[in-house]
Amino acid sequence: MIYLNNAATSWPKADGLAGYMSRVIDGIPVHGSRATGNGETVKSMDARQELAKLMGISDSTRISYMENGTHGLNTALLGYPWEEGDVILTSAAEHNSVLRPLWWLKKNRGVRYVILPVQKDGRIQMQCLQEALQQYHPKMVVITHASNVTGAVNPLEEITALAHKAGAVVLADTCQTLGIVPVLPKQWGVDLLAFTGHKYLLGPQGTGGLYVREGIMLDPVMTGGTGIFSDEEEMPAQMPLRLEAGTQNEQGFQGLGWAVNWLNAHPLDSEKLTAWSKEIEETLQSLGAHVIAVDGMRTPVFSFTVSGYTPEEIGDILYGSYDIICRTGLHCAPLILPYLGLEKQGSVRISMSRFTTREELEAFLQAIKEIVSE
Amino acid sequence: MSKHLTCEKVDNCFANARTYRYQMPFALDEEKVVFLGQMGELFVKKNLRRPFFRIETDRGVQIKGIFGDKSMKVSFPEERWKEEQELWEQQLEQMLED
Repeated sequence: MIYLNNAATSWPKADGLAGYMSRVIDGIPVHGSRATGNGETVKSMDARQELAKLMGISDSTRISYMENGTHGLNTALLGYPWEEGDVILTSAAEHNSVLRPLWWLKKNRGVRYVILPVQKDGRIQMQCLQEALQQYHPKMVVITHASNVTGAVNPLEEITALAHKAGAVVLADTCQTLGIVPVLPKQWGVDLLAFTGHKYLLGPQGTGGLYVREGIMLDPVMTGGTGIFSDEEEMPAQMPLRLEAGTQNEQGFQGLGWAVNWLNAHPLDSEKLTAWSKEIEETLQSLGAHVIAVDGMRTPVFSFTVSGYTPEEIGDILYGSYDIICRTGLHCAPLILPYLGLEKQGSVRISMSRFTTREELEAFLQAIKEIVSE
Repeated sequence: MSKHLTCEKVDNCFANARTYRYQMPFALDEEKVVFLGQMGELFVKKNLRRPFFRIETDRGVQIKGIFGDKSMKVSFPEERWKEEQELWEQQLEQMLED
């Protein structure tokens, strides 16, 4: 089986993760300050510290654990101190994990949002952003760091600078980038940043996080036990605890800590991925596929269609005829299609990982060649 | 549902889509696909590792699958899917019993 759906969830993981997590599950639980003793029988991995190192953050307490990226985005959006009539700017490339909470805010809290157009590669149109910042005076700009449909990476540092100049905070969705391209929220001035553990961080599902800049106080979406400060009626003010009610997925985060430690110790061969990305794009184009071409910084995600077949059919053929797993359809980003020149059925999406082999890449291209041939 | 057919709905990105996966009592080899092709216009892509087929009926029902599998995906027009599904299943049952 050839797995090319890493933008959905990554596989395989780094060698050793499954064994480590198995030992964690068998070992006496690590329960932080809530137990009289942790009785560590397995070396515990501090995911917060590893993530802070990866993102260039000096204070790891600014990272709260979340179930996934969606949880992080919802926590940031629903917990922000909105007033009725506030405006949010976002883009047509956003995932439903942004679009649906925005719709909920509009319906329930009277917050408006404006969808900005994207270019034909999926990147936000910077001119439109600048004009909208002037026109709407938004409270927040919510932007995906990279499109999960095209792989195009947005200039987050530049976007943040423009937003701040206009008085807006920035919430970045880095589910598609953390672990595969640099993500430096402190350096770039990003105010809120959500990420997931199970994509390019190579961690287990059920893990993710939200970075909250010093000086921002969110209302927690979930409230409950925190193990300490139990005599207070409301959730503690201090991070990360404020946003971590109940027992976290501590075993999962042990695994994420192991995975990010592995990532920090094994730098990515980004030149190889860049070269292969170019090759995939050019080969698909030469075969007559309609590929969404992306220049500049990108993730290894590609969307394309083939004349004469629906994307779903291509996906069924790749899996049924060639044992290649990919994804088809709207990719939970329903607004981006018209900007990419795609029909309502969406696209076929393949997404490599750092573990994708040359043989797998060639097998995929050969399969497409056979599909498009007479 | 009859003795020949078991199916389950296939969910996808489109809330109103009506696609079902039908398990057949036989593997869909070339002979069986040609047999099913009586239901409409048959297209076969043979030069794949395992060939793909698509049948489109004159009522807008689409039947798709891979040679050698025992299941196929059937999509019914959104507006009148229930009626089309019943008609199509009756037609298929009749063909299987003949």
